[in-house]
Formats: sequence, structure tokens, C-alpha cells
Amino acid sequence: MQRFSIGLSALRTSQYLLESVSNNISNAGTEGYHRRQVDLQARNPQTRYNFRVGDGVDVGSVRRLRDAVAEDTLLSVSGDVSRVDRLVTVQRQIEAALLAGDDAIGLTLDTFFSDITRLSSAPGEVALQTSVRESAADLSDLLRNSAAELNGIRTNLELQIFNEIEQANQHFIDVSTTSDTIARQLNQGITPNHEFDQRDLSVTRLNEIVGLRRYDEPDGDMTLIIGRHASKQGLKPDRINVVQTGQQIELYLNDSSQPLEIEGGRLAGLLELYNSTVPQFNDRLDHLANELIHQVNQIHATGLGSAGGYQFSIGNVPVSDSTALLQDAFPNANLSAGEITVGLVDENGVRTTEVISIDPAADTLDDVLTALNAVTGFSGQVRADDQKVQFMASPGRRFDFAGGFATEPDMTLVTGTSVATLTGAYQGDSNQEISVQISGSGSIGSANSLVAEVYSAGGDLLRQFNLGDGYEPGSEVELWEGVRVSFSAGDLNNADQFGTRLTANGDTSGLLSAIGINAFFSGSNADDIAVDEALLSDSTRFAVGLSGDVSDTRNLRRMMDLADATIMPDSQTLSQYSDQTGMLLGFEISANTSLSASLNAYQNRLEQERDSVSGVDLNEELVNLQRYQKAYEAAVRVIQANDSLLTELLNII
Amino acid sequence: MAFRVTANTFARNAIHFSNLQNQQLFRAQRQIASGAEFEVPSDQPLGYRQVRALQTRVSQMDSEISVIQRATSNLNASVSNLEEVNSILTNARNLVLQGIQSIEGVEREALASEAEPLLERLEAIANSQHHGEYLYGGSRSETEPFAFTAAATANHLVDAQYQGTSLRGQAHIGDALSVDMYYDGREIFGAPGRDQTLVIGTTGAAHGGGTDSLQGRMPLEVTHIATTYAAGSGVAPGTDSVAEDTIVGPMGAYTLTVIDLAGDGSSGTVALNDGTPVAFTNADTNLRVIGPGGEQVFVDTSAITAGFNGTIDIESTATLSIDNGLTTIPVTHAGDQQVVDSATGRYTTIDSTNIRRTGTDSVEFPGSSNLFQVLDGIQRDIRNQRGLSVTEYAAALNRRLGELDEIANNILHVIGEQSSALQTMESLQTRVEDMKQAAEVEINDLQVTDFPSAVLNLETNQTMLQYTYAVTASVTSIDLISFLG
Repeated sequence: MQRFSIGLSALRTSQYLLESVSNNISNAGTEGYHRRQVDLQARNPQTRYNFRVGDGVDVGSVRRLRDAVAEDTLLSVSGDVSRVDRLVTVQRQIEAALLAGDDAIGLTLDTFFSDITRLSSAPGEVALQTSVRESAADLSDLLRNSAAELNGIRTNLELQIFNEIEQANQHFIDVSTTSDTIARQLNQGITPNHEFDQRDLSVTRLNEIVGLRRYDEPDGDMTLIIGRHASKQGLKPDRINVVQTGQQIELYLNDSSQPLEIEGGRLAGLLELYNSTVPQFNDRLDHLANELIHQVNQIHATGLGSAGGYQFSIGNVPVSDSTALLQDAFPNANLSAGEITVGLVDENGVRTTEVISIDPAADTLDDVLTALNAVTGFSGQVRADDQKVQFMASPGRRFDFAGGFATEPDMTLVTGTSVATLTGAYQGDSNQEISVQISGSGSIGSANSLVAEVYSAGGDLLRQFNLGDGYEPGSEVELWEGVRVSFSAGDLNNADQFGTRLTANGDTSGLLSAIGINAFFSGSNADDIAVDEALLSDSTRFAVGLSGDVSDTRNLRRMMDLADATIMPDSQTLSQYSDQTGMLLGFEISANTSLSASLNAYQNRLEQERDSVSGVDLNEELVNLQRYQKAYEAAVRVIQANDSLLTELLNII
Repeated sequence: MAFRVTANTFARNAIHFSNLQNQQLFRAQRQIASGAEFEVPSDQPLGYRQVRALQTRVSQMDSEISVIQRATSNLNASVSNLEEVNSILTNARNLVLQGIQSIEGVEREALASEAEPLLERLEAIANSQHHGEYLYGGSRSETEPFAFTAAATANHLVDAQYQGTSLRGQAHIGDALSVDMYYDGREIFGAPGRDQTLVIGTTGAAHGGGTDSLQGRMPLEVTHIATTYAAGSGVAPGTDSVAEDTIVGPMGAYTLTVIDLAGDGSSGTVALNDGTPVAFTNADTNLRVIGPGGEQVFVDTSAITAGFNGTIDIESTATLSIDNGLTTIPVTHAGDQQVVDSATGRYTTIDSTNIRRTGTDSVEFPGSSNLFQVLDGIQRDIRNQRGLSVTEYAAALNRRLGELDEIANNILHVIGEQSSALQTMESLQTRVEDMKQAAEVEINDLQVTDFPSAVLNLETNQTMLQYTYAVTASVTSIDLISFLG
């Protein structure tokens, strides 16, 4: 009955081929499916009558068609695509948070400084004052909103990272489970094509999350390499663990003590965004806000509004530790060794100035307060209830930090009876000491030769003027840089002298800004910047000048100069720095968008290459279907022929 | 091995390329619809940076133009005011010239009446406001710059107290340019500069040298205190001597000649400084004796020494006061007596060596009067309120002319300064507006959609998309199933 077995083998293999083609057709659209190809094998022939005819056909193997090179490359490119696509998506969100629309920070910053310029033409005009405060409030709101948006994006990124890790760990379990099945099936001599597909699909999905490389071994085992970590897939699935250190997220594979460096996949993009990109732009935002707060406050603190000096003033920054060194107590402030000049005006309009030296590396706030409390008519303390610094002038006095000069200079070294009085406004750019020396002796206004000589601290003769005949006692004479001096009737003697300090900047240490005295802004960074509440409630506190006069715009000039001051990194202005933030982000997005486009094109090409080997072509399968159908029919004919022969034979009996 | 193409390959290509075409279409649509070549930095990072830099400049220039316009408006108002002041000065000058020529009281009164409104107008100008701010108070532009107090007496002048500051109120344009908007009123209306003090009057007082601090003009009062007669004659001061004697001088500066005609002192004559002898009797206790210069003493001759015939020396003391007697100092006949105004603490130095008569002199401090005081002085001098002689009258008005000229020069200087600033701002405004326009054009060039190019892109990508769809439909419509029976 050998003839039957040959036909039967043909029938069975045809049946198998048809099933294989049907399976290919049905999985034509299945993700991760590799088409199968059945290899037939002729059975060993038996020898009869010294001849070998053959005993039919068997299924030799079922091959899973796969282009390993293309798929390995595709794996790498897919990881990069996932990473870059995620970067672009989130970077566009950051861009929208920081720069979209007409309320971009740079534009609002421009408006703020432009409003200050406008105000200089009519400093007493309420509408213009309001405009400056409003634009400052808009700028503050925008910075805070942008910071909040960034924080929101970062929180969202954190959730996404945890979600991706959860998925990755599930894929690790899938890979492990499938690898185990593959090993067992291979041991049983079964070709685990289906499991290979499943495992490859899990690896592909894992790769989209973490980016990896794979090494397939001939025995079906597989090793995955993520960053510098290699892990052979087996019974125990890998697991990614998360450790949050400060504001950073680090990943660890299994029990490794070395952080997992993920170079591809969505997780790489998310980690880069969470650990680097968002903090980078957050830092830039904070730096911009901090510098704006510090610089504007420093100018504002050393100016005067139309209300003039203060009876008391409370800072808007709580002091955590007044016994700590200033540089430690105010780490965000730009403190430097310098001086604070306290100006006090009594009820008769007599102004005195006292200079306190400050070294942030050696002094504590308590040291400074002790020195300030030694100034007659002035006191300072840290309030117990809110830890803010409060300065007070004694009754009848008002204080300020606007610099200037004492109106009644120290006449200790003058032996004559005439008294000098200083008036006017110091318009110099720097703090300086000058001295006035008398040459000649006699009565003011009548002496034949009585001259005042003005010297700089370095001993240079700055100017001289007559005080004898021709000088009207009590009349004002230009002393230096807008400061005027008048001498009362009386006499002066040769070598009489007095000195005075002319202060352009009442605080060269930055401490007033650090403690928020007479501040324009409150807060220390983009999260909490706001226009100072005291200023919002009392417009007369807006320090446009240095004297309290409505049209003294010297402080506005200093604020205007701030717009062009290159105080930011790379010698940039505030506005340029803000614009650079946008440009840097724009370049990153643009570069990543281009990279994404080229990677996607490359991925498309690689997918085509992969499909050219493992993809199912329906037309091709239909041809095979026809072919195997015909083979099946032929096998049936073979059996029918044998059956007919057998029937004929049995009829003989 | 030949590249094997499957249906999936066709599908993937169709999706990939239709995506690409759609992205291009989306970009073109956005550019056309929004009118902006780019909306966010990532569209064109460099273009964004360029546009932002230009926007910053435009914003700056916008505010600069606003400041220029405001400052121009202020300075125009100020120049207009000062031109009016100049016109007032011209009118005042004409009045002074007419006053010098005038000899009739009625005519002088008419001229003085014409001068009065000039002062009122000047005061109004000095305290004028523009946009609610005082123009001439320096940086203290919210306060009336001058507080005026009418003259206390005919010998005084209007007081104009400056309440502003010496610091000019400035508006700031651009990086380093500031324009003075609110001037120190003293620069404009203030005194031109002190000259030598003049003492006009009959007392014999003179300026004692040095530089005084009093301003304008003040009355110097020489008030009699006591008259003392040398011993021997029996002459004593009369009962009205203290109040009515008009002589002042050290012992010997004046003499009294006594002739005892009766021989027992009961009657005779007395003569002051060899003047007309006046008969006396021993009943006279308050006899008025007038000297050759009109000076007078009141004497008591009730106790003339019998038989006295001769000349005795007289000493007459007095005080000086510059503040209407509020404070006085005794006349010491020294060269440098300082007389202080108790109200202001200002003083003048008087040479009292030759003071010989009581009375009120006018002390004038030429060049120390501000413009208001000069105008006030003009109307007072035209009226000759100080009772000056013809020569002194003319001289006083000539001094007013000199002061007017000096202040007019000051004002012309300020007008010139402000006109120059106006010119600078006019050209600056033109330049800034041009630059702003150029920047806006550049922003336009950079940012506004290149419509022909965008439309062309739209058309091209639409066509490409149609091709993509067409070829996709074509290649996917052919399959073996269609041919299998």
C-alpha cells in the first residue's frame, strides 16, 4: 500500500501549505508578524527491484522570514524616533508656555521699560504711573504663569515617566515569559515562530520606551543592552526602578548601583526633558526674574517717591537667620562688599548721612542692624511676627537711602565763625569724598583774598571760588556736580577745612534689595515675583527720583539704563536674554523637528526593507494558494488512481 | 536580491508621503491665514531673534517719540511764555525811557500805571503750568514756584520767594539723552548779579564796602537819639530834642553859637552852625534852631550862663535800622557798620562816618533784584516814590534799564537754549520716526508672509497631495483577487 502513503503525504503537505498560506494572509496586517515559508522535503526513497522511486513528501521546516540587519537597524532608529518625537512634542508645549501669543515675556519686558521712559516725561501723571505699575504687574503675572506652566509640564512629565516605566517593566515581563517559552519549545524541538514574533513585538515596544540593542544567540536566547547595562532575558524579568534625587529622576536596572543611562526611546526624551530641558528653561526664567527683581529693587530702594522719606519701612523678604553671614542668609541676592548710606532729615529740613560698611562674607544681618542702630534717630530690627526687617526713624525725622549729602557738613576743623550749608542735588555717578580748604583769612563777602578750594579724595584740585569781596554771604555757589554751598556771614581763616561725602548710590552692597526694603517687586524668582503690595497701595512710594520732588527723574533714568545694561550672561540685556531663551528653544525644536523628519524617513525606508523580507504580500500568497490548491487536487488524484488500481485488483478476487 | 514590494509598502508610502504633503499644506495654510511667516521661535529661530530685537527697538523708539512729543510740548509752552516775558521787558524798557523823559507827575503816574499790569502778567507767567505741572519750579514742579508778597513800604519791593529747586526736571530720551523740561525759575527770573550798593538820601550814610547780602532796595533809617551840648553855655536839649532834632554827628560836627545880649543870660540869640541867629529868652525850654542846611535842634535856654558869648560843640547820637526800626544799631561814625534785616538775616555794610542828618535813605542793591522786583521798582521809580532828585531819578531809572537789559539777556539765553533743544528734538523725532519706520518695515519683511511664495507652496503641495492620493488609489486597486474567478 506504498502508493497510498505517497499520495497521502502529498495531500497532507498540500494541506499544510494551504494552512500556512492562509495564516500568512490572515496575519497580513498583524503588527510584528513575520511571514512563514514552508519548506518541503522529499521522503527517503525505498529500494525496490534495485530501483529507488521515492516515498512522497514531508514538511521539512516552517521558516519565519526575517531580515535581521534591517530589523536591528530599525530597532535603533525607532528608539531615536521615539525619543526625538517626544522631545519635540514637549518642547513645543514649553514654547507655547513661554513664548506664544502677544504676551510673550520679551514683549512685556519691552513694554515695562518703555512705560518707564514715558513716565520720565510726566512723572507726576497718574495715568503714566499706573501704566508702569500695570506693565510691571503684567510682567510679573506672565513670569509666574510661565513658571507655573513649566512646573505643570514637569509634573506631567513625571507622571509620564512613571507610566512609561510601568509599561517598560510589563514589557520586560512579557519578554521574559516569551523567552522562557521559546527555550522550552526549542528544547522540545518545536520551532517557536509565534513566540519569536511575540518576543520581537515586546522588544520593539520596549525599545520605543527605553531604546535598546539586542543580541540574538543561535540557541534562541536573547540579550538586551540598555545604555551600558546588558541583560540576558530569561526566567527573571528585568525591572527598572526609579530614584528621585532632589529635582532629578534617576533610573536603575534591577539591583544595579549604577544609574541606567537611557539613550533612546520615549523615556530618554522624557528624562532629558524632566532633568535637563525644563529645569534649564525654568532656571533661565528664574534668572531673568531674579535679576529683574534685584536690579529694579536695588534702584528703587535707593530712590524716593513723591512722599519723600519714610517714618518706617518694612522689607518684603522674611529673614530666615539673622545670625548667619549675609551671603548665607541671602543666597539668591547679589550681595557684595559695599556701603549703605542712611539719610535722615529732621523737622527743620536738616539732612544728615551716615555710612555703614557691609561685608557679606564677614557680617551678619544682626551686625548690620547693630551698626544701623548706632545711627542717631534711626533704628532697625527683625520683626518677631513675620521675620521681616523693619527700619524706623525717630519722631520728627524721616529716613531714606537716596544718598546725596549732609546739608550741614562737619565744621570741626573750621576755626572761623562762618558756617557752610550744602544744597542742590548731587548729580555725579559715583560715591566720593570731597574736601573744601580755605585759602586766606577774613570776613565772608569783604575779605580781599578769601578763596575756597575744592579737592577730591585723591588730592586733586577740582575747583575754587571766591568767598571774599564779591561773594554775597548766604548765596549759593556750585561746589561740585550739582551740589551747592553757601557760607553765612562771618569769617574764615587760612587752612580751615571741612569735608563732605557725596553719595550717588545709597547702597553698593545690594542688601536693601536682599531684604526687600522699599522694594518695587516682591519675590525672588519667576515662581513668586509680584509688584510690591505697599507700592500698589500707595503710588507716592514709587521712587522716580532721589529727592522726593515730583519731577526729579534721576531714579527713572537709572531704571531706564537698566533696559540697556548688559547684566545677564554673555553680556546680554534682560530683553536679549529673554529673546535668547526663545531662540535657544526654537533652535532645539527646529533641529529636533528636522531630525524627526529625517529619522521618520529613514524608519520608513527600514520598515520597507523589513517588509520586503517579512511582510506578507497578498498577491504572492494568492498565487501560492492557487499553486497549493492545485497540488492538493493532484494529490487527491494520486490517491484516486491508487484507489482505482486497488479496486481493479480486488475485482479479480 | 530584488526589493520585494508588498501591499503594506504601498500603504506605508501613501501614509508617509501624504503626511509630508499635509504638513507642508498646513504650514502654507497657516502662513496665508495668519499673515505671519512665523509665529513661534521654532518656525524660524534666527528670524525670531531678529524680529524681537527690532521689536524691542520699536518699543523703545515708540516711548522715545512719546517723550519727545511731551517735552516738545512743554518747551514750546515755555518758549512761548518766555517770548511773552521778553515782550514784557520791551514794554517795560519803553516805559522806563518815557519815564526818564517825563517831568509831569500825571504823565509819570500814567506810565507807572502801565507798568503795574506787566508785573501781574509776569507773576502769572512765572507760576504758569503746562499739563498740570509748573514750568519754572525745577524738579519741584507740583509746587507754585514763586510766592509773592507785596512790598511793605514804598521803599521796599515786591518779595518773590522761590519755592522750587535748583535741579532741573528732566525727561529722558534714548540711551544718554536727557532734555530739561522744568527750569529753575531763578535762572530765568532771578537777579542778574550784584553790583555796588548805593545809598540814596540825605543822612550822609554811604556804603561801607564788602559784599552785602540784602536784595532789592531797603530803607535805611537814621533815627535821632540824643543831643549833647558842650559844657559852659548852659544850653540844654529842648523838650522835643529827642524826637525832632535832625542832626547827627560826633562832638564838634555841629556847633551852637550863643550870644547873651542881656548879659545875665535872660535873652540873646543862638545860631546852629553859623546859621541864622534865633532869639531866645530864659523862658524858652523848647526853642527850635535851624541850621544853614535846614537841620534843626530844639534847645532849652532857660539856664544860659550869664554873660556867655561863644560857640559850643554839639554831639548828636543816632541809630541805624534797615528793618523799619525792628532792630537798631547806634551810629558809631565808623566805616563798616553792619545793619541787619531781622526778618531775613541779610545785611548791608554802612559807612556811617559822615552821617550828619536823621532821615530815611534808600539803600539800593543793584543787580540783586529779580525780574519781579525790577518791574516793581520801575513803577515805583517812575512814580518817584523815594522822592529822588531829578538827577537821582534819571539815574535810578537808568539802573532799572541796565537791570532789564541784563535779565533780558538771561531770558534770551534760556529761550535760545530751549529753542535749540526744540530744534534738536524736532530733528531727533524725525530721525527716530524714520528709524522706527525702517525697523517696522524690516519686521514686516522678516515676519509677514511672503504671500506669492506661500500660495505657490500651497498649490504645489495640493497638487502633490492629489498625485499621492491618485497613485495610492491606482496601485492599491490592482490585485490578483480581481482576476481570480
